[in-house]
Amino acid sequence: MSLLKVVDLHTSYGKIKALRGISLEVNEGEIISLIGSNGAGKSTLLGSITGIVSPASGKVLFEGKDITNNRPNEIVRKGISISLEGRGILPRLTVEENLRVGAYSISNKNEIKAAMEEMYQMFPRLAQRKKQLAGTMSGGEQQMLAIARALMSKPKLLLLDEPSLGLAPNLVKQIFQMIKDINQKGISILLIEQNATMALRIANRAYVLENGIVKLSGTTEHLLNHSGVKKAYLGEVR
Amino acid sequence: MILQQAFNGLALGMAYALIAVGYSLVFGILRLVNFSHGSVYAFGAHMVILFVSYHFGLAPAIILGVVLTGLLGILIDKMALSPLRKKNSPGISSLITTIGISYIIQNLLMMAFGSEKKTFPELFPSKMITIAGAQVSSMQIVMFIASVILLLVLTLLVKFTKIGLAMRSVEQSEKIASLMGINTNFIIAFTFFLGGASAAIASILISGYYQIVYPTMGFVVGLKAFAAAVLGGIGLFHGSIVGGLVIGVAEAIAASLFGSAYRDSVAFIILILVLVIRPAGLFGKKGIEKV
Ligand SMILES: Nc1ncnc2c1ncn2[C@@H]1O[C@H](COP(=O)(O)OP(=O)(O)OP(=O)(O)O)[C@@H](O)[C@H]1O
Ligand SMILES: [Mg+2]
Repeated sequence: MSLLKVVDLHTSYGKIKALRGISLEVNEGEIISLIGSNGAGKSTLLGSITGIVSPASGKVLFEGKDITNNRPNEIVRKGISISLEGRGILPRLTVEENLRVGAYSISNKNEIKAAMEEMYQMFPRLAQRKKQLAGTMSGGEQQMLAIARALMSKPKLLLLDEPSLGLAPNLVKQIFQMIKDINQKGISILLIEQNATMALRIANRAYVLENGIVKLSGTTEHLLNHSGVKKAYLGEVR
Repeated sequence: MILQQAFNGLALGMAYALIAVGYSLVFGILRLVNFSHGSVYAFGAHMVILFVSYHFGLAPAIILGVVLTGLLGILIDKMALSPLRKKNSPGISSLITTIGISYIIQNLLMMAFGSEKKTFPELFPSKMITIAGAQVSSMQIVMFIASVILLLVLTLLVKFTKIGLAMRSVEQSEKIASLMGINTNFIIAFTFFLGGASAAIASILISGYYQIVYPTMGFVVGLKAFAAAVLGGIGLFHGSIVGGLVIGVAEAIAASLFGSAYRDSVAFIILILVLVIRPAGLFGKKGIEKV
């Protein structure tokens, strides 16, 4: 069943047309990757889904309901959560406070506590650093915090904007393993990645964005073997 | 003599701190110096004399005055500042707007109450107490203790409650806060309410001490409290408290040494000296201003 459906979405920043008619779909349980070069409009798409930027036209449907132009804080409550590009942790809050902010939409204290324990189990690094100011953590730790924080709201759909950006190769592998684990727990994932090879390997399906439109889409086997994709995005494959 | 003035200064300084915290609260969350704060302060005391004149009794009048002044804070944000934010206007437009609002409130108070000085009721029958040879009125002690308690409550609220966590999140990034499910408009409104309400309480305490109110009463006090906030490092609670105390005590001592005609300039002389040495204020750190 379709969890998220984006229909002919147009988004502009003033005169710059960042999205020029994007349609895509995330089904329940899927990992969907979104690849595309810098400035293709990937982050803008996530911004339009989460209510940070308002689309000029088109629709965003979540579980069949129209959520276009809902406010970001309402969208979280409906079950969409994001880990931002560049992590977007709150630097002057502690690790634990960042997680609490992530659970802001949940009112049951026991539920928050349980979620927090789960995150500390999943990311032992964070457990050791509960009281540390988030801004003083390493890049990799901040990335884990960003993902953990996004999970604190118990999302049905997790949006990940370049979670492997700037991380060492072994950490990248670890992050991708975590994405799989999270998906195993029943959370659907829309993943933006520069690392196209890994993004295609982990996903069920993928979309290729170029200049604000969907250039290509399909199953990952199909895209991995597509000559255009190979040339433009998988150049680094040896 | 010095001890006497120190006591006077501590009481008044704590009340300044309470006003200064209002500047810090709003500055923290919006990076905006809210120059209407002094007039909001004056509004608080006037509401109390209004309700007292309608025989509400002092305690209900105080509660109503505090709540209404908090609501005035929200109204200022919703009517004038929030529309500017939605249009992404430059910060300077908001700043000018708060100065404009300050005069509008002052003029409305003049129209409603007249511009002459009016007496403010005594909060309770005050006695003089002698501590180590210095004379302290019980009103001064109450002013000091009430301000300390309120500042403590505000600090605990910001540090340890869910809404405080939301305030600190909005302060660091409104965008991220909203993505985490925080209704940022509500948090900003709540912050303005706290600022207004704490100004009203300070206003009631100080008016209860001097027993005089008039529409422009917030002008100099507002500037001094602003100086206190900047002195400590604006946006920082403990900075506001120390700033308020420094200015309160310095002003009282200067008044006794050089005559009270000179007391108002002392706050600013200290402010300028501190800023020359430490541009970010006593406790302010550079570079953490905006994320
Ligand atoms: N706040 C903004 N104001 C103006 N233009 C913007 C803004 N954000 C993005 N853009 C423009 O919109 C286009 C799409 O940007 P977007 O950030 O969505 O790309 P992206 O695919 O995420 O790129 P990257 O891989 O570099 O993160 C770019 O041309 C960018 O310059
Ligand atoms: Mg991007």
